[in-house]
Amino acid sequence: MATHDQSGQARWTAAMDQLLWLAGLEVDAAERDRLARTFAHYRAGIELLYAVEVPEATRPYLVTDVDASVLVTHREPGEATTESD
Amino acid sequence: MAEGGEEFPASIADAASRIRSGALSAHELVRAVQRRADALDGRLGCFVTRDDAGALAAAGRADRELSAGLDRGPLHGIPLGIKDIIAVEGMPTTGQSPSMRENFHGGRDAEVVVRLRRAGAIVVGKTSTMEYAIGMPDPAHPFPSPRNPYCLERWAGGSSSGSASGLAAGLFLGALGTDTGGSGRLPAAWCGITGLKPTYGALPLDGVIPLGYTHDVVAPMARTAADCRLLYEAMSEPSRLHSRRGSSGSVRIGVPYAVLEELGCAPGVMALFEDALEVLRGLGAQIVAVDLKYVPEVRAANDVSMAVEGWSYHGPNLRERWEDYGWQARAAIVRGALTTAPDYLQAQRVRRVATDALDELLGRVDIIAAPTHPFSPPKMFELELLGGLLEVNLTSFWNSCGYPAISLPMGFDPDGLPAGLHLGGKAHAEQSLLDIGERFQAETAHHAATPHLGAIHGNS
Repeated sequence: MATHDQSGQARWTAAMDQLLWLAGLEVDAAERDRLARTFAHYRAGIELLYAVEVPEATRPYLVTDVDASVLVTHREPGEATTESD
Repeated sequence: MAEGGEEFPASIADAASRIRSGALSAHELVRAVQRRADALDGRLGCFVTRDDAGALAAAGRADRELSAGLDRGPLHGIPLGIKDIIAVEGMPTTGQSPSMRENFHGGRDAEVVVRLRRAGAIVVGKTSTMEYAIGMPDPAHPFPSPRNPYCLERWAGGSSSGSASGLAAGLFLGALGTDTGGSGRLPAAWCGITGLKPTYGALPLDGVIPLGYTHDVVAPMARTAADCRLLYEAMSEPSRLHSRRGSSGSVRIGVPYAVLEELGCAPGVMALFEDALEVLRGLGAQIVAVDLKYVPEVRAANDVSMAVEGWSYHGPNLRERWEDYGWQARAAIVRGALTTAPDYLQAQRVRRVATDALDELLGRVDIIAAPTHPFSPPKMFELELLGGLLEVNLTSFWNSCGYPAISLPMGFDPDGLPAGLHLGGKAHAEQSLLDIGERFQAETAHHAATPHLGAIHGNS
């Protein structure tokens, strides 16, 4: 998270420089600082994700889970249940 | 209509009926929408590209087929607008960005367009959006900025803006948008039309520029729920279509009042929502307060997923053509490059937790109802305001869980601006949502309202 004190701001700027360099992006200082302000807000959302109590065994959401649920709702009466359903 | 002196069709179903009765030809209908576009689109900014000659040729073929006894169904001869991130043969796909590469999808129709054409529909043009469906209206870009037909100073919502605004203005009778965080339902609400967000995976996505791989869906949009059903069914695999549940009056509808209070819904919007709930009660629905959990967290998960997945698609192009992306689009997408893999996985784990909680809730109620957006459409180009408004949505919740939802017109606020009723359901519950939408629209006339845009020569 960005902080408002000067040392925090300097560290944040350095981190943005590194992240952008790793992403293969070259932007000028003004653009970097503008991105940093946007990104700080975004990071606050990420912190919110870590505040959720996620049970240890929780697997990530997979789009195939919702897509496969059609198999369950479409099953004809008497049709066998399979593990993949 | 121009030639027959009758009113412009109120819906796809209305036009289909007139075409079959011989009161209207597909050619006359396409000419009528083209004249409306000539008269109105300079102010509305709904079209990026029109193909007048191609549409008239297709209409002629549609009329000849009907004369020869070949009836492709209720979409036969119906003019459609297609969001300009969906490929249509003969018209460029711009993504509304100077950075867009040429010949997207090999210049061929997207699969959903193939299916709509097979059903007899006619594509009249590509509709405006925001850059790659993630930017904001940008007057510096060489593309139209779609306006709200009920107040031209205001935003039509995004990002399927041109599709929604053009439907309200009668520039076509059906349209396709896309919906990654609410991009089909929000403009539907703010333009006073109906928009369906299908279950993730229910409709094919090939030929659609990706934004969030795990969220994107193609969104049927029309004036009515019945028309949305026609579009949805024409694009669906027959084997995946559910039979109608024939919803009786016993539907249980949950309302997350605490969340709505937290979002700070505008009093005018809340009043319309309460009126809409009364209509649903009158139809026999049971309304109960429910606790919808993890709303801000899921919004953050949607944000992270969309950024990372958007970067996955746009990264190479964005590195090469940074300046050709508008500020809003590049700032949103580049966040994905700056996100760690554990952060992305945490977002997916939160989506799992929230989806499990929603499943539990949807075991007790059939539908979750809310206003589609807590506020009325803002003025154009107040970009910070627009960004802020998008942060208080409930729509992205349904993208993150992958479940279907619909936005239905629920009337006008004291300033005369439209608002939407949002209904979300279980996976693959599209037909139930459409059933309820049809029943709601049988009791209300909000969907039949039209904006006052002045006289159009040759049209009513």
